[in-house]
Amino acid sequence: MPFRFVHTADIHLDSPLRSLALRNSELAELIGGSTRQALVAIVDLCLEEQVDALVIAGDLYDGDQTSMKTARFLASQLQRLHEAGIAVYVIRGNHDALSRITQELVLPPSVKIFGARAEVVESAGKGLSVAMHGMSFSKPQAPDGLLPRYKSPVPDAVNIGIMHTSLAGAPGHDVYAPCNVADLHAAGFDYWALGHIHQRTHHQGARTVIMPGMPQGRDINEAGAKTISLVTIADDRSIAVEERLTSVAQFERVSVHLGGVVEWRDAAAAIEAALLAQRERTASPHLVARLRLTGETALAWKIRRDIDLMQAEAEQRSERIGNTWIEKLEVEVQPPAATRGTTADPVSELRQLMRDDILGRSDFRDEISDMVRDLLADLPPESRHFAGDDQSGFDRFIDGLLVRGTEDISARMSAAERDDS
Amino acid sequence: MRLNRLDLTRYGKFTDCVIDFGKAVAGRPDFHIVYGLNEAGKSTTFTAFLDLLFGMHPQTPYNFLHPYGAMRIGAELEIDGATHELVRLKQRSGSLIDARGAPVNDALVSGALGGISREAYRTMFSLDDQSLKDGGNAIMQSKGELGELLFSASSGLAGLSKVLSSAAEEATSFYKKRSSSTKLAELKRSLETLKAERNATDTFAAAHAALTASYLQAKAAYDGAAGELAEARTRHTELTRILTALPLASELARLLDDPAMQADLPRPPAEWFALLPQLSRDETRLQALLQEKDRNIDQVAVEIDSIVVDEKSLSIASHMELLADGSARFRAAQGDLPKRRLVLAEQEGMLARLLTDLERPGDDNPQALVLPATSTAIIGDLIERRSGVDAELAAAEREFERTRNTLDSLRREAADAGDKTGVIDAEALARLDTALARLTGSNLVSRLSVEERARRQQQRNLDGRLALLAPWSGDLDALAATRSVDIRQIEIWRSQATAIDRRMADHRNRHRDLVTDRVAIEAGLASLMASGTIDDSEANALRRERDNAWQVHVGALDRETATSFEALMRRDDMVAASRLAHAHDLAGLRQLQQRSAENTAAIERQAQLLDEAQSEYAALAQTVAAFLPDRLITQDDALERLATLESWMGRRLDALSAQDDLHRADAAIADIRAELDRYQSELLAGLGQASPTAIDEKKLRDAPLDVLVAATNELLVRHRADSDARARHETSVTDLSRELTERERDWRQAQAKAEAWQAGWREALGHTWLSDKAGSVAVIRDMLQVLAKLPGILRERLDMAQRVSAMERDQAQFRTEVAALLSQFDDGGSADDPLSAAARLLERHKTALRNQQIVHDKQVELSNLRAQRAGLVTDLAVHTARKTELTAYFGTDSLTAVAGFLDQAKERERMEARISGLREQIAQSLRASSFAEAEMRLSDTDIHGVEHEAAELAARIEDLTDRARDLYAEMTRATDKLDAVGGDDTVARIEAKRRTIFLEIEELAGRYLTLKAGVFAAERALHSYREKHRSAMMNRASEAFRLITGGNYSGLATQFDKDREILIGVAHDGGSKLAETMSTGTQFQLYLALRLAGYEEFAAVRPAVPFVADDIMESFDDPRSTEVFRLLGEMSNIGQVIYLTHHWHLCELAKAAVPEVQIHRLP
Repeated sequence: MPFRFVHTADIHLDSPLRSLALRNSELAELIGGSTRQALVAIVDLCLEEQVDALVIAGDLYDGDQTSMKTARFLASQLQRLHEAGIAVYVIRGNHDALSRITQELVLPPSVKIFGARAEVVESAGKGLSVAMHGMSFSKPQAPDGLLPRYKSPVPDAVNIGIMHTSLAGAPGHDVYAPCNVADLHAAGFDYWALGHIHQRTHHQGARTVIMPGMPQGRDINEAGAKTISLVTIADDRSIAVEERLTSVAQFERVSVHLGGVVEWRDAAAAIEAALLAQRERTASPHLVARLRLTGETALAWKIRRDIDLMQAEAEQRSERIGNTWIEKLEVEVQPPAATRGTTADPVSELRQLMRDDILGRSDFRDEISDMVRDLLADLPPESRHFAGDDQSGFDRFIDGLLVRGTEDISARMSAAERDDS
Repeated sequence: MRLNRLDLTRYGKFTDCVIDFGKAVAGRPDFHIVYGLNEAGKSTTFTAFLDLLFGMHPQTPYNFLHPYGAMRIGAELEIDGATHELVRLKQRSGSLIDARGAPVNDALVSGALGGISREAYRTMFSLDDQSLKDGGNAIMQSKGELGELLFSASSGLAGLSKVLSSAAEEATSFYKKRSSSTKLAELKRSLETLKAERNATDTFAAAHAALTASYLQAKAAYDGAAGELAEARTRHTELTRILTALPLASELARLLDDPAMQADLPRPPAEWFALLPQLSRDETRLQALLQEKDRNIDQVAVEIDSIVVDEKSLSIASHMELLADGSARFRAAQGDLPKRRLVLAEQEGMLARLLTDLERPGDDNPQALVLPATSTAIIGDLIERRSGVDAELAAAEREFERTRNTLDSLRREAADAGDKTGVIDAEALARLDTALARLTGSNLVSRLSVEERARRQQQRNLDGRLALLAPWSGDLDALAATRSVDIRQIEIWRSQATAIDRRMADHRNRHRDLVTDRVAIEAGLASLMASGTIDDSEANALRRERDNAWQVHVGALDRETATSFEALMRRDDMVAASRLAHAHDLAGLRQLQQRSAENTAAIERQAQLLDEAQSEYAALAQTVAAFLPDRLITQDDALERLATLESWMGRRLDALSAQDDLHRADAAIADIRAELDRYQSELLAGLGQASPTAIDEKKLRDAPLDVLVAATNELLVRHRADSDARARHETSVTDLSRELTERERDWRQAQAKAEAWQAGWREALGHTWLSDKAGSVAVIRDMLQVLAKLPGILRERLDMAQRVSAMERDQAQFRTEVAALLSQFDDGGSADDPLSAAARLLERHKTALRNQQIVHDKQVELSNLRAQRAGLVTDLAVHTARKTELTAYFGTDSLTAVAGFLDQAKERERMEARISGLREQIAQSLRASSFAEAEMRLSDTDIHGVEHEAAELAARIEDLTDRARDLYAEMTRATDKLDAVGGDDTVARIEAKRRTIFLEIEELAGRYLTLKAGVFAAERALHSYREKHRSAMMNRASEAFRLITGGNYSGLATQFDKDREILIGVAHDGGSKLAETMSTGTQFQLYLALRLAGYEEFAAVRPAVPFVADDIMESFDDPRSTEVFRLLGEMSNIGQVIYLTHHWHLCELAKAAVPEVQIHRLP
């Protein structure tokens, strides 16, 4: 009988999605609990496929996750697996290293949570003898690689290693249990069930080394379809890995080229076409798109000024497409080159004055910086990151802000009173 | 850029409307008024101009007359000194084209406009009532801020301060320090609410731990109480068992002591309990049955004896069938006989009639008249064949005659036809056919017509070319004879001529400059002369005069000469003194004189060089003229002649090549014609051979080719038809001859058949009594038909006679038989009526048979009864044996006594079962392995002690139960609290909402900052803008404002107000007035003044573009309007100004203010 298991990691249960698209209460209702939906989907898959085990390679929750409701939900799902006779192997990652909620929780006996010292659990079930090696983060950081501390592979058994690691970085520089992929391939284990990095990677080599990515992305930086691995180790110890979709919602950046577009509705149609194309490419039930408008168009000023209208337009069209939602519009359109340079238009002259003269003045920059700091002081701490987390980040933000401010006010001036009626 | 002409070719309501502004004339104001009534299309005109410059809008509404595809605007634009004919079409790309339809890059126009957009053009270079009003408002909104005013005057944008203030307002709606009504404050409140909600809903790990601890405590307490309770219950149960077992033990003891158990009673077999009731029932039943059987047997025997059987009647059974059949036949014959006798008589009559028909009445032996069947058949067959033989003979004869006649007539026709048609030579015809096929197969005729059409075209072409040669005239030969020159040679001459021309121009210029110099030199000389300077020659002459006077005086030495000498000497001194005083001028004079001399030489040299060049030029002109026909030499100029020559050579070449084309076409036509002639003569020759007469008859010798072809075709067709007809005729004659022979043979065969039939007929009739009637076939046929009925009639007559006699015989025999039988029985009945006698006999026999059957049945019943009785006797014996067994066992004689004994045995068995049951119950109650063990335990038990302990325990159990229930409830509450934590996602959803609000705050903060930064930057930029443009614009605007207000204001000034600079109007009395406090009309005028200044500011650094104003002076009085026109007039010295109006009086005012204004009327 082959040994089959599902491998996932970085579930970050109940970690909220970060998207302005959730301002739409309908969407919030649909995908607000998508990390939970993903976990349910994983358990469903285990039951349907009648696998032998579920392997979770760390980061069940965010570190600041303190609600027992989250833990109890996890327990209820693991109970389903227990009732079906499916074993669960869990290690703690950097996020849940110190999680109190797991300690509080009484988990079914079929759940094995590896401790901070390397352990090996052997099971000689239906023919194949399998050895599960695992080790948890004892603290949120593990600057030394964990690989040397794992036990040696058990002879004559299929050895599966579970590890939470950032892989790449050299020891000492990276605090998330760095290690080398080549070392993993050479360690004598048949399968490495990794976790920590949110993007799926199959590290090709002598052995099967898989970073499955998270089962549900939470923001645009965790874009794309998210999956888990369904692994089958045959009696001849050959390993087959299937990728199964788990993400309920999928974040995608969608670029819309508006070069040469003259009419507002043509621009809207181009957005709809781009959304439609992305919708067709998107495997997950819900698509949350961040639109980026590019190209040289005579509509540039109008779009910049009436970005709200354009967003409403895009939302209306996405609604028509179905299961498609707009998170945000990024405006990078430019007026046609012919009118962009120095022209006789006083608005252009004013814009040029702002860019070439005003923005460069240090007193002006100081004035703006003070204004930003004043505002930041009044914002909740969770909402302050946009202005950069350190001085260089802050400077970069100010640079961008000045250019954006200039462009936006130019757009407003340019378009004001000049719409050809 | 300037608009020279606007063509509203197909646009809006316009069709082919042209507004011609003409070219700009230096020194004259470029000021135009376009006058048209309301709805004449003034604003359409302006939009058309914009559409021309920037392209038509994809959904332009000006297609109500001309559809999109047809819309067209044209214009002549002057861009950087060059004129461009441009046309704008309504299409997606390449909509701008030039006069020849070639596409023009839009960059040409946008470059000329300095890259400003359509909207910017509209705001910057056009003015209407509304924009003037908005401008006035803008002045109010800006509160006179100079930067904004200058900017809005230059850009034509009125809403700038509105843009800035609305942006700032929008920002403030998000965030304002210490304000609780901003969006940020609202979002923060939402966050607080959500946080409170979360805290109310959620259970943290620490709280969970406390819950778990109290649960565990409650559980431990409950478990303890429950354990104690269970222990007490177990002991109580044990005691209860002992108490339960005690009464059982006493019952057991009682049973064991029962006397019934002690009695000595045998143990009968178990089945006897069931057998006994059966035996009791059988005893009486079997006796009753036996008696009944005996009674039945006696009764049946008596019945058998009472029945008598008639044996005699049974003995005649063998006659019975005979009697029945005989009766039936006798009765049938009685009815049938009279009818049969009547039929026989009828048949005798028929025979007699038949014999009469056969002309043999009363013949004694009718049977002899019957003919043998062979003869009848042969005669019948012959009669049938007779008509066929006759018909065949007649038909064969008829066919033979008809065929012979047809053949004769055909032969006559053939003889006639042979005379009519002439014979044509087949070979000649074949040749003719081939020639015709070749001609029709070729495309010569169509080629001829094509070539002829081409030739006509080329002739027209040549004529056109020749006409183009005017004023030269002459034929083509003359043209060919004219001199020709290579194009390259012309180019060489041209470059020579250009070089010479340039040289001449240089010389002329040089000459002109020199002459100018000379004038200057002469003027210099004159002025030096006039200033009293005396030149050297004059001084020398005076000196010589003085010296002569001295010589005269030396000679004379008188007063007169002295006076003369003195006067001359004084003059010389004066001159010398003057010359000394003007020594500097003198040097200048000398230099001028030298320059004059050089100048004169140079002028001569230039004149000479010019002459040389001119003669070279003339010579070249002469050379060129040699190649030109005289009539074309109209100019002397070599370059112009060269141009003429070039054009002439081109046209000449065209004409000559056209002639060549014509020649080639002629040659082609001649070739085709020659070939056609060849075909024609071939056809004629063929026709001549085939049918010489035809040619002459139809005058074909000189007929056109198509007539000839038609005639040939006709001849060929006719000939083919004739030969086909002849061939068909010959085939018919041959076929008919063969048929005639066959017909004759058929006729002869028919005759032979008729003769054979006659012989057969005579032969057949010869052997019969009919031979004398052989002459008529019909008589024989009738006789034969009658004769055929005779054998049938004879047979029927005989048959009927036989049946009558048989019946009579049967009747007699029946009577005899009945009488014989009847004699055996003396029944007293009569034998006269045989039928009734027979019936009586049959009845008697039947009664006897029935009695016999009854006796037999009774005897069978009797034997059955006897068998049953024997069975009963056996059963009774068996019964008696069993009964005896039972009674003997118990030593009694009746079954009733046996029943008593059996009851006693049953009671004993019941008690024994109860005893063993009790033993088991006791052992079970005490959980003992055996009764013996239980018995022992019971015997050891202190009954009172047990009862006491049980009572005590019952009370204790009650207490414990209450306590356990309380503890259980406590534990359940703890469990419920833990369960209430739940695994639902309420908290997660609240967190998600908070996260979204954080993002929203970030988003809004970003927008706030962007807006704020933008507004700050714009304000700063406006300051810079002000600094950059203030000096020039302020001056212009101030002057314009003074003019427009007709001197009410002497101009504009600024004043600082905190960090701003405010524009103020300076009234003529020196007072100053803030812009926002001016009257509306004055604000309009101020705005107008600023706009005009803005236009000039633009035009100062870029080529001007047309400025369009649309009836802006509705609210102005006449003097102010005049001033505005004057200003526009001034502005038109910088760039083109177009004023659209529907007020004629404004046109008049404009003319008064700017006399050179041009007025254009819209249709």
